[in-house]
Amino acid sequence: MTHYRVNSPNVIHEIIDGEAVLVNLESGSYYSIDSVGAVVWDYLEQGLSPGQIVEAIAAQFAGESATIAAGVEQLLAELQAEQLIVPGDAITANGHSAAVNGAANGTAKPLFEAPVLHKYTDMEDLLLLDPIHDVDESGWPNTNPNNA
Amino acid sequence: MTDHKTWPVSSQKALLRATFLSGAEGLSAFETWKSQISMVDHPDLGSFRLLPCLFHHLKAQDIDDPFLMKFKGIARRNWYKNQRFFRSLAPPLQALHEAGIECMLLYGPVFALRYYTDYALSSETNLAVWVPIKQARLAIKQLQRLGWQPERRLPDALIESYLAADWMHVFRDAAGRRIHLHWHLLPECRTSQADTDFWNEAITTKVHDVPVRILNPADQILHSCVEYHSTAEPSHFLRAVDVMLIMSTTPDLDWERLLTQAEKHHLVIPLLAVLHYIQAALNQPLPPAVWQRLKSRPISRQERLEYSLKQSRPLLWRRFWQVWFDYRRCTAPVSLIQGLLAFPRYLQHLWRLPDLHRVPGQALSILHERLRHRFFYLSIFK
Repeated sequence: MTHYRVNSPNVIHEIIDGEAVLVNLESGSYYSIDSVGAVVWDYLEQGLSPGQIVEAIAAQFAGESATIAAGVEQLLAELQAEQLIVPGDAITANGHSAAVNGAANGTAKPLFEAPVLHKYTDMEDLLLLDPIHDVDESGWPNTNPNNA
Repeated sequence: MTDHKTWPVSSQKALLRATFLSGAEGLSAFETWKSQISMVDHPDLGSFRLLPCLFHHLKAQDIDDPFLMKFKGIARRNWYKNQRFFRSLAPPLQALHEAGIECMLLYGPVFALRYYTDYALSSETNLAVWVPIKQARLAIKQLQRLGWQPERRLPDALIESYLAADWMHVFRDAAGRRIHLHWHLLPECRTSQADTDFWNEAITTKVHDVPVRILNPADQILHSCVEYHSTAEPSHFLRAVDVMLIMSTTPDLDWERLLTQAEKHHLVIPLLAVLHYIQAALNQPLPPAVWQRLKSRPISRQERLEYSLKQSRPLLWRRFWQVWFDYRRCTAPVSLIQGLLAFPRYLQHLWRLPDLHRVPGQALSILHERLRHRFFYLSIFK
């Protein structure tokens, strides 16, 4: 199966309070993926293959295997379409076993929810927003529809 | 020492405590802060800049609150802005580096790079670069070549005399971005000896692979304390945050250097004032021996007079005293009489005037402009 790697240095990323925020420097677009998606991104960074990621997510979240595989594959396809990840060589992923085992040891697993990649393109406008008053309850860069 | 004009107002103090204190004390400060501010209004700029740190601190303690998602949004925005900022910083720094000019980064970016080490937490993206005075002219030329133009006129023929009279100049590019180009660190430290003191102990770091220098932690504390004391801008209480941050991330802080530098450059008062505030209001203990020594350090008569007059009212006089004392710091130990006689020449260079006889006219013009502003604002608010 194809391995992926983060499209560095064109893509910069950070995990902020369990949410992955990503920027494609070539297009200037900003992306965010929350919850399961942030975990998938973390595994991508560690060099896990798509199969290993599905396995690790299945060990960490409660849900049908097929649903989890479809959700992860959909996210990977979107990340690739946005040039945030690119096909890359397989690398040894030391964190894989630990991730799977650590997750499997937990008692109650959170429910799997299909990850959603949020994309924001009008960054110049979004930067001009007042990040307290012009945004919705989830905070910048999500605009308050009442202000539109 | 705690009645300085820029000390945090009550809500800022509560915010500082909520951001730096943990457990019941911190939580109580957070509740106090919320009761004192209204999110319908805009928090002051300084408080606004501290909100990502508050978010980070509360999250680390598993504290949840409806406000936090908004604060997280500010953290995301900071991260994005800082990523862009540091990328935009690289080309001018690279150009200066390739021209053989040493650059020292100052202010906010230093904290993002070394002390926060998290772009989401640092909100200040003002670009200030200090170059050695002997390379300042070349740096000005390089910036101009890259499209950065002086914000206030800087005729080529007057650059040398201006460099001797002032300490920094602002340049702006076509996109409206600004660089503060320093050739001295502070208006209070304009001797070659002071420059050497700070440069010799500076630390080397990199911005996108471009080597740059930053002040060592002790000197950075001193710089932040002096900056805190220098203006009445409400956001300047963040300089106390800077000092807290350096102290908490630098276990081997060279206190001896901090005390020596403060005394040597007649900057004991701002250091004493900020450290006193941090110790009293934010429960940040200083090593007792250091505190004892700091309190017992002699404060020169010149320094006492300077700080007392710089904070005098009205503002017009404060500005006059500021210029006078900055001048005296450049010219010491020249006698007062000699100093007075040479003062007009200093003003000529400071104001970038081609002839000495234009100084009185320029002085009157500045006076007129300031009075006009003053009466304009009075007419608005009466």
